[in-house]
Amino acid sequence: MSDTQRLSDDERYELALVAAASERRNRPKNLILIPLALFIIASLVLAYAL
Amino acid sequence: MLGLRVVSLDDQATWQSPDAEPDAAPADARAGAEWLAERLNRNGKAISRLIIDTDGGVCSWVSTSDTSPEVVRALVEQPFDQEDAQGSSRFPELPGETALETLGESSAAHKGDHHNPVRAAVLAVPVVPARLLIDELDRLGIRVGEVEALWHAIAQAWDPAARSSLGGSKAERVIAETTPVTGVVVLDPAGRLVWAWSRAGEALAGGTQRLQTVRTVDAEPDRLERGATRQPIVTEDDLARLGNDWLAWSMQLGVTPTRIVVVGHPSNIDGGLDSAGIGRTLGRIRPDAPIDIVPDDDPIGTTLSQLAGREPCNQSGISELTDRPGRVHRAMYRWSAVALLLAAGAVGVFASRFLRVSDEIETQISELGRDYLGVANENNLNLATASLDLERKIEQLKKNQVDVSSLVVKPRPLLEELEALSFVLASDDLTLREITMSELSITVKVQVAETETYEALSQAILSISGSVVEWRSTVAPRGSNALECTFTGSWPSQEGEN
Repeated sequence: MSDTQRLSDDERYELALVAAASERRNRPKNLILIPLALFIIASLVLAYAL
Repeated sequence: MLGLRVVSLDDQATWQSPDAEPDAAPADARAGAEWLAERLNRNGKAISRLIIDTDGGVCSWVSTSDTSPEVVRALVEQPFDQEDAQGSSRFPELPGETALETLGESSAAHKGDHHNPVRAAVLAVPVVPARLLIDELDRLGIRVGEVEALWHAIAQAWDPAARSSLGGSKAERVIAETTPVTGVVVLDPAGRLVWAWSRAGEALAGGTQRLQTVRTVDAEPDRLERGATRQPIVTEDDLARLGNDWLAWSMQLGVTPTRIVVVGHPSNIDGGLDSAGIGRTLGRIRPDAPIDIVPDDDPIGTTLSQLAGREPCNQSGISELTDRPGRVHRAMYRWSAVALLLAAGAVGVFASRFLRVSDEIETQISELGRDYLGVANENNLNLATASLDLERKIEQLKKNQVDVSSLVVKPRPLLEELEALSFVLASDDLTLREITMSELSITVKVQVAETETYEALSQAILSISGSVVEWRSTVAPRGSNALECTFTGSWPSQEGEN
């Protein structure tokens, strides 16, 4: 454990950004938003028709 | 990242990072993941438990009435504009790079009285290499189950109460019991003392201390020390520091270990204590607690081996890493989006059909209105009461309707009567002279030899079963030896006949 070396702030920041980007990519909430909006609009049209 | 150790029930292997350069962390993670994938190809594509080292991590406590992750993170991480704040100085200042996890009973999200905050044990572990490794494993299609810190693993591996609580609902427990707190001390030959408190295998607190080591062989020490080249040296001062740590934690959490387990093989050179000396010193720190000594050259490896094949404890683990989204989550989002699109399409089609049918119905209603107006105008009906007037007319027409079927006279059953007569007349004693059948009457003329024959024939004709004809008969002599009988039948009158 004595061989550990400290990363520079820039490197740490870059690694944190990569990890955060990977997390966002694997949880694509935007992918859900458009179909959800379409579903809500279709439901409203149906409610109006009924 | 220094390296990886894989432990299964029947296999152990170690991978050391080829590059010690700090900026090679992503490449190391990729290489480590590929090595791991190659090994896992023989044993399946999943890791039930990923244990990350606590080097650089801290376990400390916070006072809070709400132990939800967001509140704990807000308490621990120093705001950018308050660099002189004192509250979080016990935790590493690595915002965005550490996972924070509450331990023990406070790990369940707890919202208490704001006036009576509780002490919550919180571990903060740098997790950037672990995130990179998990992402690389996910890229290679390897599922990672529970992610835990070494403190969690030590608590589960060595707490005797954890083993006795295994079995879940199938465990044969006869009486209720209280679960004691166990303190586990692991003497890592890499040069550190790692301790953890646990209750039934659930980590309550943990800590790490540096230790001196002594080289036991002339070979260069491994970067991932497995006890082959070095031994830890534990002095009275080290155990005094441990005692101080435990005293502080006892005051914060209100519990203290009632059983102690020491795992490792310390060296007794350079003033170091052997296992018996460590036991005696710990006995002075915790006089009432029984102490178990487990001599082991590679305590970290043995800790991992103890956990191989065991189901992870649900309450432990670093939730940020355990719940880290991967390909499965992405696929779930993608399929959810597809399902939502299909549902939206189905609802849209249904709505458009409904709208079209609604338009058609409106058109028909307007056409019916025009027809109604036309009929009302043609028949000089009042528009307000035209419908009722028309219905009344229809009712009157129905009442005046005559049943045509009653006017038609039913045909006479000529064939049935003829068939019945044929049975009666089929005799050698008579001679049929004439038979006449019409809608008005039936006439049968028969010649017989004797009066008895006539009487018998007359009786037979009158008693034909099912016949509706009313018979009359006359008899007259014909020559000297014969009689001529005439039977005249008349039909019954029918309805509609005058």
